[in-house]
Amino acid sequence: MAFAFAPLPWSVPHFGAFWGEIKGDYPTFEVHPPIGEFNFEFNAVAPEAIVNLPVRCWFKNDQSNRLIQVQNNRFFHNWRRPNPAAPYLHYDELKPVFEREWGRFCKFVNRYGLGAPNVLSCEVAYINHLDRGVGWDNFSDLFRIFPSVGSFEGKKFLAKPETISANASYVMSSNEGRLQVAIQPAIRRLDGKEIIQLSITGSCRPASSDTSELMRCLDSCRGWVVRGFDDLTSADMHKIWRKK
Amino acid sequence: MAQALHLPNFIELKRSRQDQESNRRQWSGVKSLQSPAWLKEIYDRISALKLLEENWDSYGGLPVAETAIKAVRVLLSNLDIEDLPTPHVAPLPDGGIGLHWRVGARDLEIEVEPNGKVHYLQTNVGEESIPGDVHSLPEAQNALDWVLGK
Repeated sequence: MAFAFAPLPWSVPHFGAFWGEIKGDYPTFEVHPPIGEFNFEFNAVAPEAIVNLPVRCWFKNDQSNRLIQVQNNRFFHNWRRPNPAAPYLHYDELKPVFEREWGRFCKFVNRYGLGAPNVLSCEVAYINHLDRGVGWDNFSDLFRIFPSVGSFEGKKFLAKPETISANASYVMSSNEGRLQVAIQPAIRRLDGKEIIQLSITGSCRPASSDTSELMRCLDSCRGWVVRGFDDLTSADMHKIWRKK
Repeated sequence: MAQALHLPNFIELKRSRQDQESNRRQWSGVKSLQSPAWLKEIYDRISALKLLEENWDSYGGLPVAETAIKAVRVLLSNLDIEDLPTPHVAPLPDGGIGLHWRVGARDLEIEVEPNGKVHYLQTNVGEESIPGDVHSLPEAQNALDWVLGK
């Protein structure tokens, strides 16, 4: 889950100060390049040195299954299953956590005089790993998972494709936002297994930055993600996933 | 006295590619199967090694161990291999897997034992080969970087 907001006058010291407040729950950090378009400025000879270092910080919890990402115009809370045997955390369990952490971030921003975040977009993303050998074996079998996707096999000259990746975007009703679907051939670093990574992301623009409106938007995005997943994937795969 | 500056006066960097975006925002620990271009082909070759039966080389060669296959896959999915050419992949008589890269005058052979242990052999043409053991991913990365002259 994530919010994108108008850029705040957030600078390097704010990362440390914010981490100081959440360190009890998120004891480790990583520094990454920011999401979105950004400028990197370094002017060593200006009368007043200009330094703009756009970064995104990850703050991870003890079990490394929850993550807060912060940059000057984004706030993310991510959950991932640490191992296949770990219980799955559902949206209804994760949303209150996101709401709590967002509240903590807003209080921090307010206390440091950075202004209230003007939220431009709410986002819910589901990332699924579809293991090779479970319902599919070759990329030309993609229709087994996604019945509306073709084989991409050539008419005469081209054989079956070695890999296929695809991106699709759907407009939500009343033009509230978009549902984006990405199908990417990938390898899971943990065990080196071949997978299809299916990412489904719902994003929509809230009418205001009030918490109730933001939560309504998240619910709407999540609804689109769930219905979109169900609509795009085959009944045979649903049976396989239900058995797992 | 003028000060020597090694940094450009002004640096501006813009990045916006959508594919980089989606990969950077996620937290799922995956590597694209489409880069480098040879990765899928090598993955398929490694998978095909599973089909080898005992005595595949007519000298009593053992079937390739599942542990070795997994170790090679984990290596390939966790190392920076973008600049490397297609490796030569071969089964080893003891049930392990060998990977071989040649870049210019440098040869790198990586051997993965049936139990998943990894060794390498670096050879500069005309010089004595240097063997080594790999105990961690950074050590494996160093061996790969060597073959590229990094």
